[in-house]
Amino acid sequence: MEAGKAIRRVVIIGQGLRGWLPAAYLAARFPDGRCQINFVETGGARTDDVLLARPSIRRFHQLLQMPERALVETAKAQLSHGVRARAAGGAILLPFGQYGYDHAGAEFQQYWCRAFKMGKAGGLGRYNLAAGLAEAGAFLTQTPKGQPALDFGYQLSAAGYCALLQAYARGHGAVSFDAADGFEVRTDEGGFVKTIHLAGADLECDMVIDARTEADVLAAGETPDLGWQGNRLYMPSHCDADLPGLELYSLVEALDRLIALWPDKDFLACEREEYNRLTYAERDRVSDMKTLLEHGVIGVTQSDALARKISVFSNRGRIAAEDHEVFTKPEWLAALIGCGIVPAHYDRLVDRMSLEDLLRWLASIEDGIGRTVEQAKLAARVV
Amino acid sequence: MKTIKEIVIVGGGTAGWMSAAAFAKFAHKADIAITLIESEQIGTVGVGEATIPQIAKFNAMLGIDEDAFVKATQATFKLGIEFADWGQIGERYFHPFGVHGFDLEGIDFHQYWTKMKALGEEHALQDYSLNALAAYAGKFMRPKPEHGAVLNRIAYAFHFDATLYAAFLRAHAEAKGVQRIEGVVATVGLDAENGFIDAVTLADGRTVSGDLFIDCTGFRSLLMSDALGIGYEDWSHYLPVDRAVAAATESTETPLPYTRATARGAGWQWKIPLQHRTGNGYVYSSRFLEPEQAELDFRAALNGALLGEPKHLRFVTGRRQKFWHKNCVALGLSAGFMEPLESTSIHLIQSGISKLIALFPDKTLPTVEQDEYNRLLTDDYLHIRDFLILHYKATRRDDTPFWDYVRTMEVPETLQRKMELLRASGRFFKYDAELFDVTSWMAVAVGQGLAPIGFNPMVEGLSDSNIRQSLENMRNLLNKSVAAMPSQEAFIARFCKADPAQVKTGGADGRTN
Repeated sequence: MEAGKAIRRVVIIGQGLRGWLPAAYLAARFPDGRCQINFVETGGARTDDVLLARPSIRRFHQLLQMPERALVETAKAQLSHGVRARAAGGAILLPFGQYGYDHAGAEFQQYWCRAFKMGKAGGLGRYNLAAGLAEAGAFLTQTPKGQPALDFGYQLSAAGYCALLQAYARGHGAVSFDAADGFEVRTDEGGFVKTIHLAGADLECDMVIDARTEADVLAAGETPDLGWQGNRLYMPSHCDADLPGLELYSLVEALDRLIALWPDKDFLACEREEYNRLTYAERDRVSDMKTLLEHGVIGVTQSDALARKISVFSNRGRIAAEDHEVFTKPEWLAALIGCGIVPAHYDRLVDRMSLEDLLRWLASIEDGIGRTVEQAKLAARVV
Repeated sequence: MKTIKEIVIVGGGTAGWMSAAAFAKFAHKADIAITLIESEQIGTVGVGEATIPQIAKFNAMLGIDEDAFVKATQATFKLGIEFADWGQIGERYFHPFGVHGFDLEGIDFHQYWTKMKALGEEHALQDYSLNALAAYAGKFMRPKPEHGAVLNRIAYAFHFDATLYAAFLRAHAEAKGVQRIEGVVATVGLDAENGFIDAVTLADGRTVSGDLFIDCTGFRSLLMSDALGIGYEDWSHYLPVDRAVAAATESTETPLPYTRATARGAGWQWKIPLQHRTGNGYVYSSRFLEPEQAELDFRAALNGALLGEPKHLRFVTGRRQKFWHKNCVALGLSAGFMEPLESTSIHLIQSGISKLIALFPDKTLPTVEQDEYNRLLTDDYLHIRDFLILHYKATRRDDTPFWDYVRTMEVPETLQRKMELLRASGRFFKYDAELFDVTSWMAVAVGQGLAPIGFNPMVEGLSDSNIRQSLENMRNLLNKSVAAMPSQEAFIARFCKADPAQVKTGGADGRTN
């Protein structure tokens, strides 16, 4: 690559956390200062004070080498074992962990389904350690031996987390500019952004990361976009109080995609298109989950993928996974069951286990989870 | 609509016995009877003597002891494929299983390699593959965590005698209660009302009824095509080879732990080492070469003495328009065929079986599962097809009309997009559960002259001297690890040497018959 083609100046436009997160991410990726990160901070303030971070956030924290202690002290981090989503029929917990164990080629829910249909098993949630902990307000950072696999994310104070990212970004060379009084984007004939004009300064840029929310873009009289056009890349704006956790998730995922496709000044169309393809796939998977939660299974869906998920699950309790899933299988399972679907059939493989063994097995899982949750509650009280 | 109580598998080649063994695993406890009909009058095709690492999962699912399996099938280990004369005559490269190098700072290894290449680094991509280095040194051992992080990266598959594999699985399946019927299917009876298959009638008048039928009748596709009328999607405009001439030869060297695929004037020739002999075949396009000439060319390129006369085979690359229709599932050649270039035939059988088990219906009717099955299998076929086309498209050969055709042909838009991304800066993103990953795509693209022009600018995060040093460290580490490995010969002698008394020489040797 010719040296002259390298991206040396990135300007991020946004507000608070939505701007400081990309700033910190890119500052960590360019530790040697070969790419200057400038952040143009627009006006407006967040209204939410608590943020959910899905388990994948921990990769981002690794990149930043963010100490756990800073998260706890500054961002008031608490562990989280699931998403509490609002659905048409009431709240549904989407757990960060497995339901029971898959066994002999069949998934756990198939075994559960057989017993449940006979009236011999309780709700599926009883067989999920993450769900049990989340309901009890207890936490574990590691899966205890012999328990269904468990993961965790965090509940974070939005202001505290933003302060952490801001300190990190500044400490690694990012510079912020106040644009509360407005700014102007100046493009060349080809539509490429050349400078961001501010009251006190003209910021030249090779690439712009537009991290404003959709609402802010609209308020500025511009057309919101989800993807990457020319040298301007819009950060996804999935933000929904009914389904928390998507904002941080989609910001970090978008930055991961960008780095995997990091351009030079040629800005090849095929690379942008690939970024956009992956971005739209993510949007579609998110939208499927929202549609399901909002409208339940009787709602009309335009999405083939969601229609397939519902029909495959309704028939025999299988989860038809798509490309670039955002939500894990247990989360889909929780959502589909939570929407009131009981599969019409279960997998025949399950019949290999005698009913007696099956009920004993289910009881032992439920019992083990119950005891683990009690211990975790106790431990929390002692601490 | 009825509960499935009887599965009837028609055809007893690799696909038939793989299905029988897999279904037998769960069927007897679920009160499902399995019957397999085959005839000794009909030769099996014995598709694919070479495999890819996924087969280990299949064998493990059946609970097969790997050493016993290697012994019983005269198998050797496969670390990858050497391609000769593909990009241009005189060139060769290695497509390894496993990965190239080590990623640095979260960026793919091949990005750093591409940059260093532009700065004059002389080491080829395959110099960073543990599998390629071990293959050329004739070495093999299984990965084990206790051997350390490097040696634990070995990825392997097998070369085996497909006829022996079918026999091995037959014994396994029969022990689990599969009933084998010797006979030739004469007619297929359909339910007048819903068009489902009721029963098949054998040439001697016996009738075998069932609830679910598995069509393993090879290219003929007796059930899916003849009886149910499901058509075939022809891909020969993309993959024009449609014939093969195949034969086994005596081994002239210690078996190598890799397959060789050498491009020829109108196709390519395989060489697959087994413990007791070597499998060979010339896959070619009848539009560009006559069978007589193909056989002459084939014979001229053999090293060892022939064990039997060469067999001629014909096929059409493509796929069945539906893989599961009514109460019939096509597996193996009846479902489709892509040439054996990347040893995907057995994998596609396995993929079909595992998806069918995952979506197994208890009644014969529900179409939800059928649709999902057909969707997943179609994806499998398309992804593999595109990767195979790359081998023909990415060439500079212009020495024969065949190579002129494939070099200049239009390719599917899905492949075009992948090639552009890869060519520009070595970017690669998998679609769905795509089989071949960035290691494979890079190996073939680079090996055939379609190496990335640029690289991800993120690699500038490390200085040139730092990258150079890292690459040298990787080479040293990999070479040291290979030096510590035993030869394949010694490994086989120690753990899984086949009994020479059981050597079976006669019979078809083609991977495609």
